[in-house]
Amino acid sequence: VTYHDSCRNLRQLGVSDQPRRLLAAVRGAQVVRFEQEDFCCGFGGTFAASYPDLSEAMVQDKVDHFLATGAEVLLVSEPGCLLNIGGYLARRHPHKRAMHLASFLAGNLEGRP
Amino acid sequence: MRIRTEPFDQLATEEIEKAKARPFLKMVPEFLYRKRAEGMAGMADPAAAQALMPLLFGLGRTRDLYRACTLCGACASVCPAGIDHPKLFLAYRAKDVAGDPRFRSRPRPLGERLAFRVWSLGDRPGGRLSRRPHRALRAARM
Repeated sequence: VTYHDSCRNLRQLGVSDQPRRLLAAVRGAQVVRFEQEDFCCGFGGTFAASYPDLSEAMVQDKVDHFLATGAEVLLVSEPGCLLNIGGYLARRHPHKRAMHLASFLAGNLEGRP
Repeated sequence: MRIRTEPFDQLATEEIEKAKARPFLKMVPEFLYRKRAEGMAGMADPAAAQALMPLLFGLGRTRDLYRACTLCGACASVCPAGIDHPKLFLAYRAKDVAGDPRFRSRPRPLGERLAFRVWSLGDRPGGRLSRRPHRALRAARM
């Protein structure tokens, strides 16, 4: 698995190491880092609707870096990022998944509410 | 969330002074930055210009400069001059939505303003629509 730093969590709340420490404690999970993991996924609220081309280019970059790691699951902790990255993965790379960190930690590997 | 706009002039002045102080290190994807930098070709410091242009040429003409931004805060986190671009862009957006002739901006279309007004009702703490999201959706569709 790998973890995407959501903008709000990282830059407003200063949450960066905590999720990774939690993941490191999960038995059987191999956590890998990926390039530009702290970059925005391109959702940005109404930005995604106002500038869909730019938004898609940004999420494409994000997903390309994720795919380069070979990880199966991309974990996020922000619903907007999950919507954006999860939607893109479902359309373009259905064999890969984006999940909420809480779902993963709870053992809900389907990632469903 | 209601955006406070009263200290806008003071905020803008502060940010402009910071922008003039020194160029800032960009951490914005290049293609996104290019989109915002369209129309600013030839300017010595596009980063500073980005903050200044809406004030110089009006919010209506420079809408992409402050709207083509996810407000992720990456630029602010590395800005050596301490410019808080997301804060400034939010202030520009609030002015633009309200429509302020001093900033050469017209109010947004009535339908859009109504839709977001309904949305804002649900955003109030304990608001009726916040407890019943399906009603907010229904109202927004009307």
